[in-house]
Amino acid sequence: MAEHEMMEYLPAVEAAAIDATLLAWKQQHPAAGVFALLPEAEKESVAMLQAACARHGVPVAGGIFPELILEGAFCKHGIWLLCLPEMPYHSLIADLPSDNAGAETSARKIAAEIAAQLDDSSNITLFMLFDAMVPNIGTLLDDLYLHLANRVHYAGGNAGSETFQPMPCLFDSNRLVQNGVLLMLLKHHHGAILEHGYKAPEKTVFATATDGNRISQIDWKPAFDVYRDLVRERYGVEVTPENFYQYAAHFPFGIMRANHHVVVRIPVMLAGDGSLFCVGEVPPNSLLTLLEAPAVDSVETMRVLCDGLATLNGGPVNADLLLFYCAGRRMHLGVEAAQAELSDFTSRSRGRRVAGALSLGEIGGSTVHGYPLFHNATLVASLWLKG
Amino acid sequence: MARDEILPVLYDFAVTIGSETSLHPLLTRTLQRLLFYTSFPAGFVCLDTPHCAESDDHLAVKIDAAVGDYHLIGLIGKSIQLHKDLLCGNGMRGIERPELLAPLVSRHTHYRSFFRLPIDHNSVIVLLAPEIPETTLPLTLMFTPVMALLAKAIVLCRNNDERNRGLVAERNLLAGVFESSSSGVMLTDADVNIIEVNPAFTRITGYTPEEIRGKNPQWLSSGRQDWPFYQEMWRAINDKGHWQGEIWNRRKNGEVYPEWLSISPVLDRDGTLTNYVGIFSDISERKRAEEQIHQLAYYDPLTNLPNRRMLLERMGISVESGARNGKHGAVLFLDLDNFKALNDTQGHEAGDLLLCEVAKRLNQCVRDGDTVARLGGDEFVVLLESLGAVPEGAATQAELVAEKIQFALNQPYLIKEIAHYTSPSIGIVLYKGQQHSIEDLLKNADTAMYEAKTAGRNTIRFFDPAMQVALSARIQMENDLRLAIERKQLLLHYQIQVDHRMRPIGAEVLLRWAHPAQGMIYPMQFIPMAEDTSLIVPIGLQVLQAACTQLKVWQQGATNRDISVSVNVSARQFRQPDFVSQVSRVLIGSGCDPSGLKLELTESTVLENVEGTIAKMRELKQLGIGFSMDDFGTGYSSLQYLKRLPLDQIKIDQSFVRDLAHDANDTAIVKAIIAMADALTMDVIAEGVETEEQRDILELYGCRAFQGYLFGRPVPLHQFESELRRLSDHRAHNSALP
Repeated sequence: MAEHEMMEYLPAVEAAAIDATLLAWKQQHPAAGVFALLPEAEKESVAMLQAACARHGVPVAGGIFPELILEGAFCKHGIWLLCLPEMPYHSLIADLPSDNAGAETSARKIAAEIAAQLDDSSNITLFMLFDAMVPNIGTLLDDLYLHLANRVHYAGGNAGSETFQPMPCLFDSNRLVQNGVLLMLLKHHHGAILEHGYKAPEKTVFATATDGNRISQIDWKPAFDVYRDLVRERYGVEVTPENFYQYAAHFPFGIMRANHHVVVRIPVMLAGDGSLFCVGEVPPNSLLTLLEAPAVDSVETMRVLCDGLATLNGGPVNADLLLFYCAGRRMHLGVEAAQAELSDFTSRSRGRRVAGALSLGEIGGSTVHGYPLFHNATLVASLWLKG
Repeated sequence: MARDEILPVLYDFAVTIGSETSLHPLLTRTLQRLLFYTSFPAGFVCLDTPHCAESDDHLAVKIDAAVGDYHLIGLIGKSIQLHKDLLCGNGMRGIERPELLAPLVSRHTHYRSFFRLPIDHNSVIVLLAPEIPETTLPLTLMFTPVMALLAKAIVLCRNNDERNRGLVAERNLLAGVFESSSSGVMLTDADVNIIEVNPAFTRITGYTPEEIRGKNPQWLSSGRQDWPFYQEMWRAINDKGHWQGEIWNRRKNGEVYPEWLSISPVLDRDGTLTNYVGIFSDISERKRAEEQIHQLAYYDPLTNLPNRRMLLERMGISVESGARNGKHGAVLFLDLDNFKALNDTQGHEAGDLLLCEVAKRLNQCVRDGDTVARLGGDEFVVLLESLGAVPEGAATQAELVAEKIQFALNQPYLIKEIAHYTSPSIGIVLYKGQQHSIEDLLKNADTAMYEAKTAGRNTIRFFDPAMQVALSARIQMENDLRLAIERKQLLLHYQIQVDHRMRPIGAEVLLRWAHPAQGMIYPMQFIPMAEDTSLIVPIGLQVLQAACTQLKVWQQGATNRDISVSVNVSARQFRQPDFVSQVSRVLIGSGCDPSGLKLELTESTVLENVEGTIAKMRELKQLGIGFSMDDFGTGYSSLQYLKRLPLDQIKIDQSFVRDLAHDANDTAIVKAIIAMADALTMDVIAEGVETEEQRDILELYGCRAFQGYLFGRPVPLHQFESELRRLSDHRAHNSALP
């Protein structure tokens, strides 16, 4: 079996095709496992995938995303199967607590389980897929970092529906869960690089009164009023719960950092009381800048990603890649521009295969050895494992 | 300066620092936010660093917090030597200074650059990176106000931590006391709803905290205390701020138990009531011990009847009560007849069973409120109260109860499947008020009982003053008798015994008491008392010694050498374990020929312990002594025993002789006794012969020996010897006649 076939895209999610793929991998790697990416349109296929993997004695884990990335484009059907020559430690945790105390307890428990698997003998990446509906991902990441620090690299993304309706979107060999996280420890892995290229405009406004991933006031006014005025001013339309995400993607919040990097938070839902919900938290009770229709430097983004990958892996790499592309970014840039970015990334990858998905939040660092951050509006790229 | 970029960052720090109240989270979260904003991957904090002016290049510092580097996190709390250039001085970015960072090298990351942020003059934050993150912002200046804020927050958090540690220690101590206390503790809110209980509460009551929370303590009430009790309790709690006392509550399993409960209100600083705290101990064991002690002190362990102490207390109460209400009470003093015989023959276990049964029957004979007590041995006392104001009526009631008791105790007792019989001798004394002391009442009842016993047992006797006079006289006599023994006031009289030819054949020694005030006292008046008081033993010995001495005198003379001497031996004297040796010593001491001595035993003496008596008689026979059975025919004479007894003589009681001439029955008995003695080859002597007619009849039936007034009264020795001489002369005169 050729090396590039460690990633297999099946345009139709059919048992026969899955069987064939699993059989081939199983022959080459008897202890193989599978990491699977499914588009929301194929969400009903999870059980069939689990059954196929069970037939072949192949453990499986994965997530359901709005769409998949294939050959420099987005696609709504099919399935990505990524081979893990030896199924690593993985853990699927459902129903994470949403309160701070519960999050701290969960993080401590997860960190203890992870720490028990670590021998500090090699580079290890803690790869995490969260359900996008988990409201305190940033807190969980902060707490995990306090315990595990630099013993692992941090990478991952959020699964779920782009409608932001609750949906079981994470699975392993036996379960399909929601409101949880899938953890995998990838050995001999150097983590991921993340970049958005959003440029903060000269003039910003402040957002006030936040609580977790909920923002209730902007400039001491109800958040909905500000958004309604912004959207009406720029697009001449009235914002509603139904069209909110479509327009809000153009007015993300920015958390400014001292190295001029901006952590983006895209509001994705409008609550009945006029509050806004983001994927990922904003600092509690803090000020946020509102990025009004930020300019995006796509070229720079692709350059940072590719250079970062090389730096991460100690030079030019010759392996397949895994890429998560933010759904909110595509909403802001438009499908055409987003496709162009994908195409550019693929071409810069010099023939290496790129598997990935449209994600609802991303995890990683924008610099080498960076603090793990939960982002919106980014691309997260990492090497997939060699066979 | 990009003000709009800096202000949100500063605002976030102000919020982060202001949100923390404890040192470790403050340092960690501040470090975390610094890493977040600056893109440095790791950093640490050192507080209380040594003075930078010291000459050494390195300072020994302690890592107080670290984030982002597992190796550094492991150094938290430990001391490490770091270069002054890393720690001392103003804020700065140190680029490509790996030599300063060498002590901090970890497996994963090799730091080459750092960013130093002094918090104050002896505390510093150092951020670390392999490669310095880019920035155009004046980070040092930008974070200066943040560090100033942090310095103040550190002081506040340290104070708060110290206070909290004290509070926690105090709370842990209190919690430890609460948890480990052996006393039950319950805490209620101001509305008296239970909000917390300790493990001892659960152990004592059976209720878990979950079961009891929210409930009023009345949930535990047994119902034994009435509403006024609780009213008084709450009045004390609210007025005096405390209540304690004994209360009976109910456990979860339904058991009612006593506890010693203390309740206090808890007030806050403003004096507002916030809680009540109740602390209690289960005093069931103590109660049981007290009851046991009380039982031992006031009750007889065998029968569970009140003992003497309890009886005296109740009598005291009853006497006081009688003084108030004018009613009589009665003390019934009981003694069981023949109880000793049961104890001796069947053992103490049987005796105890009988006493228990007697106690049970006595209780069934009295009313509730009357007292049945056991004083010890076979003595019981029944205290009857409120018998009425008229003495005759009270006496009648007391007598009725006594008769009821008499009947009940006369019924057979089945002890170890054998029927036993006993009867009570009951003495009764009435009382009203405090006319007599309690001791006197008991003593008088005892006296009455004694009279009952004297009167033939199984009898009821009331105590009256005449009885008391008799008692006093008896006591006086007892004292006099003791003196009489010492002062040799007891004299021997001799009554002659003759054969059918009027020849003297013997003498019966009889005792007289020459009382200095009362004159001569006959045996019937003092021998029973001597028997009761055991004075009979020394008296008997004195008599025996005197008799043997006289016998020796006669045996050594020419005229009376064949005279035998009969001495009465009482049962108590005969039962002395050393009686045989006593007699032997007397014989040796006197030097008389034992064949001249005859001991007279009564039927009751012989039959009390037939086998023992036979053995002892045989031993004495071997010494050469003869035996005569006194008063034969008056008891339950049994041929069965009679033939086994080593008797030499049977003495026909004077009661048969008295009417011999006129009573056919007596005649028949006398004939039968003589015939029986003849058959058993025993001699016969008739006593109480006062007429010639009696003597002739007796002789006609075969009796050859006589004693009685016809031949001579009991007289002092010198008279007796004169009589002997007279008879001797008479015989000589008769024999000289043609």
